Amino acid sequence: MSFTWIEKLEAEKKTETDYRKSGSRWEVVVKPEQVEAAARAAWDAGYFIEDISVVDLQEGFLVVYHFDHWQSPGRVTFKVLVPHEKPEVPTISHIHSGANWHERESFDFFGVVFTGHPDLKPLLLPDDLGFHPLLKKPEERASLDAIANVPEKPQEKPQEASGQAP
Amino acid sequence: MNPEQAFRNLAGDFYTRSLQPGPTENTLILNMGPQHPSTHGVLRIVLELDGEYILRADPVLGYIHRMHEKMGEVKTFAQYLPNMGRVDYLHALAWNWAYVGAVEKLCGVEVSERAEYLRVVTSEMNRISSHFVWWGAYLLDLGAFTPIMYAFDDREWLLDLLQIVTGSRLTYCYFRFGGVSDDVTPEFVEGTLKWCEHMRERLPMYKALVTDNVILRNRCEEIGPIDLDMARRYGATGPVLRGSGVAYDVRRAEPYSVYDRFQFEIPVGTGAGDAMDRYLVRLAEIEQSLNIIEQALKTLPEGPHMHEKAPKRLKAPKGETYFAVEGARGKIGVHLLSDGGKNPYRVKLRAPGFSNLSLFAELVRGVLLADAVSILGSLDMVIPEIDR
Amino acid sequence: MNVLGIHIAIELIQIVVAVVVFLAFIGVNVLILVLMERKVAGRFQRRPGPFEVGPHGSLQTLADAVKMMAKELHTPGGADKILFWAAPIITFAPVVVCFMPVPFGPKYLTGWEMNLGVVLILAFSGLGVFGICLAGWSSNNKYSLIGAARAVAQSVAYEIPLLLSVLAVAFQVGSLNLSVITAGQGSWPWQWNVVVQPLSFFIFFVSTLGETNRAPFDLPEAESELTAGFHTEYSGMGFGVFFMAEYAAMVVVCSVGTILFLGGWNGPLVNGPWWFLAKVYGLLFVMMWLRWTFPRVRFDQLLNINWKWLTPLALLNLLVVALMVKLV
Repeated sequence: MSFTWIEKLEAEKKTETDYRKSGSRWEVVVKPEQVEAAARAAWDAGYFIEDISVVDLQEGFLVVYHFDHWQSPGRVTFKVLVPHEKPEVPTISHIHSGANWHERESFDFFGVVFTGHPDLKPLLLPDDLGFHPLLKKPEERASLDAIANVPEKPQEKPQEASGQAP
Repeated sequence: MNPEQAFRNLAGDFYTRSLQPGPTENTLILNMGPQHPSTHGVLRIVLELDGEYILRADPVLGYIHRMHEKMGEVKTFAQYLPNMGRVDYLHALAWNWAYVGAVEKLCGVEVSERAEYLRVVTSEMNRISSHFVWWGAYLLDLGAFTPIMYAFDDREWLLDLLQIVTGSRLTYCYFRFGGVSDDVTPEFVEGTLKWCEHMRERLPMYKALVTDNVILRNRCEEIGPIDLDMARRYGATGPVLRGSGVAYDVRRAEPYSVYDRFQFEIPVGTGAGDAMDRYLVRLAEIEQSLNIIEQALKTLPEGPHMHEKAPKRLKAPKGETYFAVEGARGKIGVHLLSDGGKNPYRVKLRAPGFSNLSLFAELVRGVLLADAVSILGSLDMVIPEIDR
Repeated sequence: MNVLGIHIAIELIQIVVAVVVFLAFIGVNVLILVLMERKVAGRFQRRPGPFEVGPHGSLQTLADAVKMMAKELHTPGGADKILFWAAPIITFAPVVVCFMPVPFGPKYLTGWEMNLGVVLILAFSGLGVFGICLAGWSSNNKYSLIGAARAVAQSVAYEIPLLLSVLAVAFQVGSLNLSVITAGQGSWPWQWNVVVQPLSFFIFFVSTLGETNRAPFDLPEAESELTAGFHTEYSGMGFGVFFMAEYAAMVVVCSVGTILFLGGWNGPLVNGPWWFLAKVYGLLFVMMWLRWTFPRVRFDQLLNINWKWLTPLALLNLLVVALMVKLV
């Protein structure tokens, strides 16, 4: 399974992660304006959108995109960090139609606005709720390196036979 | 009621109004649900109809939204376990597994081998019981009142077996971090093997009575074809994807537990990915699950049902992880983040039904209302899983 | 008073008595049929059916009837009151009339001897569609409207092969009088019309399933699609009247089928109304059997079956019968 398409991506930081511990093969941190190009590259490489989730951190909202592929265990994670004051990310629902609902849900829970989304109305919460439930209080928020320390792929990895608990 | 109230009722609510009138003047905006016999839970679909043809459909969710993801943040890791049984109550053990597997991956907890086999056996039995409910309910939607009775008759025996070992009939909470909560008795093993034999004799009857029926074939064939492009755009998984011909099964693609020790096939649809293909895929999956159960029970290793080093008090390190399993509806994923505290920092539940239902709006354009009911049934929705 | 006046008076009394008797007959029949349907359904589904009320559940329908009569008659907001409550009556009334020309037994067991019994039955069974249409329209409910539209299209469509298959028998016998048709058939099964015209019987039976909105053609009341179709908004006795009308219509068409094809009150040893009732209940059992076995046919497929298959077949059948009658 070649990940050359990742190497060609414009991104802030690319890490090859330990699949056994994190469930993801690559973690790519992108800037908001690079999201669309990354999603398009994922589509062209044959990936499908698995989910989009948001994590409320001290530094801002971390929008996490998971993409997976039919032919190989090659989950790829994209991460975008947006500040609390201006939580805007371009939408990818014109490339991956499934992202439409995932983005609506993220908007519902966190208030992250996906610019360019055709119909960003509430999905799961009542339309007159007035607040975003999953936001954390500022004193409860953790910092980015406190949680997302996804381990890098170890250099010499012994190829264990499958059959062990992952 | 006063005229203002009456007018407000006529104008519909936020979701009905947001579906602006379509191109022609003669369209009818109809609400299918949230109380409706065939939406399998509280799903509301706002339809714009031209006669019997659907011009646009807009599913409205949230009628059974319980904010499981928030509950994950205020409960400890162990307290959150029973929640998983309620997300998709029909295949509760798969959600159990997804969460327990994510926590075990994060904390580095090992599972005993006997527990792995027991997890496989009970989860596959749960998959069969979920498919029975789907089969009966789907045929009930199509107007055949009898097959659901036969399916539930067989399912009763299965639920009795699962009750012996897990203590529950529907919303199981059987898995623990490092194993399962209780060991099985030889009575369970014998009973399950006998039940598997009985099922193998019953499945041909299901086929002869229902699958080969010409009326059913006319209601299912060429209805709701999902091509590969649409399936990939929406992230469809499970029988919805396999009906379109893609042999993507999490048990083979991202192997977990001991599934690679068993021989089983992945049934795929051979046609255009219509409702009949999805129907046949699910019936074939029942047979494959029977194979897995029999193989697992015959080679069940001795040992403890919980790993010796399983922690009594779970101490989660900082980090994030993602774990996926194959549920009856598709790929169940749990994205777990922890900051070292007692509670998870963020639990994101990836429900297969969520992605599968999102393609309904596009799939159902231009289709007859009766066919929309058939399509909805063939997608096998459990709304609590979609709403969480 | 002249002789004509006395005759008219006697005939009026006869009609009134007949109507009352038939209302009672329908009432008793509905009681039995509903129980039979539920027991049959239960047995097909591996369960016993109603079992608590009365010995083996035999008083269940009586209890249900009492419950239904005790319920509130609620008119939905915005519904047209007059039409809403007229609809069940308009659906039910023609069915009572349809029983008039039916000969239950060899002598004097007919409501009203008439030469055009077949025509009367066909005409009045077409009137029931009005009631359904009104029910759907006046309910102020989109589901009811769709259900009513479906019901009207279906009933009107299936009247045609029904008519044609009945005509085939009329051609053969040479009369539209139901008593004459019955008398023309012998006591033993091989002397009944079904042996001579099996295709007509098949077309007739399928058309009656379509006419009475029974499964597999029960889309107008499709519970799983339109909640309850045209009678969604009716409660209590309003629904009860629709219910009775449906079962009474079933009895009517099975009676007609028995007379036309299965020999009416003729039977092996002793002719009499018992054979008639036995055959009617046999046909009703087959109707119920079909309902609990097959899924529902989709609406356009249902109309397709009628226009593309049944009607041409019925026309062909009629042509063949006409030729045979002329030549033989």
